[in-house]
Amino acid sequence: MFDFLIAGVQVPAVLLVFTGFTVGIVGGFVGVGGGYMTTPALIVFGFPGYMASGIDMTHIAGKGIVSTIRHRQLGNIDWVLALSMIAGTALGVEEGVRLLGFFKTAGLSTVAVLGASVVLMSVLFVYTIWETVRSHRRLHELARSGQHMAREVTTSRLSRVFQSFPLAPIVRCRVARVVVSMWVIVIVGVVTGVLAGFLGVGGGFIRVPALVYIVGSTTHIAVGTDLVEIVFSGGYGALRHAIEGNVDFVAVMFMMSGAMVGAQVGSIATAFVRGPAIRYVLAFSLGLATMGSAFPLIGMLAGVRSALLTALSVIVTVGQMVFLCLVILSLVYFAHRARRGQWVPMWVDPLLVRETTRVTAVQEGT
Amino acid sequence: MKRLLDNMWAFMLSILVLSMGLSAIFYFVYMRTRIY
Repeated sequence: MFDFLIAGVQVPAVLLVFTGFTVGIVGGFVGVGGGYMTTPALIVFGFPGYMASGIDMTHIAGKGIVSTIRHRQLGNIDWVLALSMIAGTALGVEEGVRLLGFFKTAGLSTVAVLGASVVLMSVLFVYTIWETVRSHRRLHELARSGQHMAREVTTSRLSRVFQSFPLAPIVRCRVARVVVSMWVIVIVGVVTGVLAGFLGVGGGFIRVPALVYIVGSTTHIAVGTDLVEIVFSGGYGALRHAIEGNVDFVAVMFMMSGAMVGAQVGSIATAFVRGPAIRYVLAFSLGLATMGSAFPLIGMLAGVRSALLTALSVIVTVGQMVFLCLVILSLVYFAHRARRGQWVPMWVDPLLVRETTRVTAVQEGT
Repeated sequence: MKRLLDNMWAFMLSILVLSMGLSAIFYFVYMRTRIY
């Protein structure tokens, strides 16, 4: 047990390191901050709710920097896309917070937030899993016919509609290989920002699918680009929480010691897989997060305070960290086996990149 | 074992059950021993 004097609780430090590590792997791989997993976990550990949010946001800001550096080395960041989106997101978050204020005055804030997050995440989950299963089948067909398989395969045609908007200025995102009206990027930023501000989350799980399906970037670029956003939004959030006195920096240090390793493992793991593998993990994460939010919503709508519903919600939320972490690590393990010419399951083979992708440091000034 | 691994959904489900089980054990043990 470690005595956290600022938060006024006694919690085993190893739990914080473990949480930081697992959420770091998931965050680096999928391109999310992981606040929807960490905050409930910290509350279970005994931290007060406001402290849990503050600690979580501060550790996300630090972890985001580590993941961003790794993704930059892997060439997964499109700066044009990232910087154009940040402008929209900043505006959107402010509007989202105001919208939440409106619901608060109407006395509906908790139900509205939980209801909106359940509906939004379930829609995103259904679309992402449906599309990813189709892409996975397409990869199987390509593998069977012996055709060249690119690192990314997507069957969604939604992005073509958005890319055909002829509104100036049209920007060319070289790394993402996308030519699109800047208005599309900014509006995607605003909409995802409003949702993130309203739901009180970083918004990575909304932005990554939006970047893939609406803007039309590859999943790897969407992950890297979204992490740049997380550095900015997490940094601002950490500053605000620190000013309000919601941060126990000792707890943040413990979480960061795990997250610094986990974020690098997660980021480098993206080099071993094709786009649909990342989208599978994202879809599973969305599905389990929906379940985690659905239990308290059911209790609230039914007007009961059930200990069972609370327990189920927490078990699903904490369990998904372990689940997603195991899925990512097993993908890396299978990729390692495939490269050594050993047996791997049939379904996993098309999801893996067999060529060695070397992680090299980007030289300054390039 | 190979048959279980060859089916993606069975593989995912078994990992899911394992993680949720671990999470449930942790939750009930930790909540009993937590110092307030």
